[in-house]
Order: sequence, then C-alpha cells, then structure tokens
Amino acid sequence: MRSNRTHPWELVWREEGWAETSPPLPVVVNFAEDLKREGAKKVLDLGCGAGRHSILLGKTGFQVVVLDVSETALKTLEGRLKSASIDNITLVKHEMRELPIVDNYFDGVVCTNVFHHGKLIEIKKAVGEVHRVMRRGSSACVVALSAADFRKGNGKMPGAQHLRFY
Amino acid sequence: MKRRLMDILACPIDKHYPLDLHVFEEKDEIVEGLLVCSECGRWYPIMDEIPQLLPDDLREQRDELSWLNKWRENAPPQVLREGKPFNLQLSG
Repeated sequence: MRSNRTHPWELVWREEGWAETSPPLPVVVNFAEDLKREGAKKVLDLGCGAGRHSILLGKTGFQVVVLDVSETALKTLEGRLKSASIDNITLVKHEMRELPIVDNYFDGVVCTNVFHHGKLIEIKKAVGEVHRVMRRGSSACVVALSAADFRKGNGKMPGAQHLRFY
Repeated sequence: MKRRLMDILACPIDKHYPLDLHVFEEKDEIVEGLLVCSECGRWYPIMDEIPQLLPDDLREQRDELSWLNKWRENAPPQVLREGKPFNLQLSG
C-alpha cells in the first residue's frame, strides 16, 4: 500500500505545472483518420494527460475512454472538454498495468509517450492489458522512446523508483 | 462519471464484470459514488465525477478512508466493515 504517498506523476502535474497541450502528433492524426475509415467506434486513449489526443479522437466522433493516473491531468482535460462542449469522452483515473476494462472492447487504442516510463516488466504487463481490451482485428498506435534514445539516463526521478524520465 | 461507463468497467484486479454501483450524488453525471467488485470485495471511489480504479499499491489509504467515512451513511455496511484493500473497521 502506498500509505498516502502522492503518485509522482500527480506531483509532476500538480507542482511542476506539467501540461502537455501541444497539437496532436501527425502519426496520431493519420491513425484517427484510418480508424474512422475502417468504421471504428470505440477508442481508448491510455495515458491521456490533458487530452492532447483525446480531444482529437472525440472530435473525430469516436466514443472515447481516457485513462490517466494524474487527477490534475484529468481535471485539466475535463475543463477543456466542457469548454469545447465535447460529450463523447469518459475519464477514468488509472494507470497502465491493470486496465479496469472488459475484454475485447476497443476498436482502436492510442498510447503515446507512456510505456517508456515503466520498467520492462511493467511495459510487458501493460502491452498485454492493451491487447486484452482490444477487439480482434483492431489497431493500436503506440509511440514510445527507445532505450537507445539520447535522452536515456539524463532525466530526473521525482521521488519514485518506478517513474523514470529518459 | 457517465452511467454508460458501467457497460465496460471491470475490476482491475480480477477483471470481474459488472461492478456494483452505489450513487451518492448525481447531477448530469455521477458526482460521488462507489464501485464494488462482488468477486474480490474491493471498492473504488467515484470522486468529483471521476472513477478511480487504481491497483492496491497506488491507492492513497488515508485520503480514501477519509472520503469513505464522509459517505458512511450511504455506503454498503459490508464495504465499511470488510471492504478491500482497506476499510473503516481495520483503520480503527
């Protein structure tokens, strides 16, 4: 049990003013267009942050479920959704290892810059979980940094063994 | 939390579905409430419209028990006494 220690990602969002609201990655824009063309309806944005891609997916017309471990990130996204009158996105506070979702549900999954923050065993678990909640024949768009990335080892660790900035 | 989310939410630990829903406050969406896994006995809060389904090691015991105590008149007695991963009885 964490005995009330705030999750490091929450600290990053809350105390360091982290707010990734950049425009969507082009690869995700293309992926969303492909999903729409294929008739996808239900899409997961895993590690959604402030909704860099959630809003794109919502505006594309999907029924979107978004997960993030930071409450501050989710509240930021909630405010953005209300401002934009977007009603087809549901928010859940969670992290990537054990998804609280039924099997074989999503037609598509977006997960950008999330997996590389975990240890290898956590990444394997998360990939298995993403696969479990995906419908057979569906697609996922995953963006993660390589262990060969020049930033590996140059980041900081905000108070938790399992959170590593590369 | 939108009620339609109940169609897909499962217990993150044992994947049991469906979860039991107890609503404490509802406006356009469920504002405050409780999700309970009838299989393993874990409970998960819905706080300020957001369901929080974290694994045990990421849960914040003090804050969550304080929240549960606030809603003790509305929550199922079994959750208060025996809910996992922590409950009001164990916390004294």
